[in-house]
Amino acid sequence: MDWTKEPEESKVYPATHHFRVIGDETFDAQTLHEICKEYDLRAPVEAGNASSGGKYRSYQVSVHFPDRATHHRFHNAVKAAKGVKVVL
Amino acid sequence: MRIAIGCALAMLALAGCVTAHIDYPLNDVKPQGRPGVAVSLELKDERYSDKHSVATFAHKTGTYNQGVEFSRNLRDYAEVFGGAGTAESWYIAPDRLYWKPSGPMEDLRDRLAEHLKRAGVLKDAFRAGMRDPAGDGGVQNPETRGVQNRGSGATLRVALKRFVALKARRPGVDTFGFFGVSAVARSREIVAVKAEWTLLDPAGRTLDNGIVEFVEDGDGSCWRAKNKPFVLNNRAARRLGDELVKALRP
Repeated sequence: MDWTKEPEESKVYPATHHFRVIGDETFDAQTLHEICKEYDLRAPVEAGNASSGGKYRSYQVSVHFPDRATHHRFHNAVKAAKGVKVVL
Repeated sequence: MRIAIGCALAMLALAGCVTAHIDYPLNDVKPQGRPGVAVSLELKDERYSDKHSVATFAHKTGTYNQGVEFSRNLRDYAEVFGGAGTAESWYIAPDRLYWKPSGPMEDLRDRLAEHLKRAGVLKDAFRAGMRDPAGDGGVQNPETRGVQNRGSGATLRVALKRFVALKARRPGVDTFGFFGVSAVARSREIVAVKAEWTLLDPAGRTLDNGIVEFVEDGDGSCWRAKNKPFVLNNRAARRLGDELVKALRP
């Protein structure tokens, strides 16, 4: 393998990525549902853990991406949603 | 000594770099068990400022020198992660190596499983049964207490001990396992972790896997770690261990 070159995109995509979206009390999960409609979901949006103080809640979703650009577009759209604190 | 090494390695875990190193000899963790080593791997994907990955591999029956060799094998994992940046980003030493990844890390689990199989490192891993006298997955192990209370090493030690101890006492299990803390975000107000784990049999087949995650209200203590790539406070480290144990419980 030539370590000096970027890997071919075809070697790393398509790929399924598992996200954890952390939102505060202003986050509306419906927003995440709306964003996800445009993508190839492999696992639906589900509520995850709440923080100990109840201030934050996580949501889980798995998305299959055909390429890196789609992956970045999804990530940026979720990060820009109101109330989203972290996308992991 | 090991704490000093851990600190040095944390310093080496610069943004965009990957480090792999011998984390600690497992016979220090469980003196009554078989000797072994653990190797951890830290990554940060620069494209996502709030993402870090840490994968820990336990090579349970290995000696320290075998661990060094195991660590060197991790160089091949650059392929797993889709590339290694520039040749200049490589550095390898007897007990560590790091490189600059350029690929996505979310497929870590499947790619590592395949690579571990090809690298032939599975046959020795987790052969020996590690005893867990307290029967609690290491929770009450006095060796768990008193570890360095800040830095990636602390989290990895606590979680890995519990992981190893819990899985090893499963009857009939002869496996290689690892968990990867695939993402961490922390600030004064929030701590969030996503971790993936996998158990493989000696042939490299996936026996079991999963993802655990949690989110915590920050207690203000994490700001001190803002310049380090992967640091959790004690509460978060314990929570990670709790979540892993919950997920791994037979």
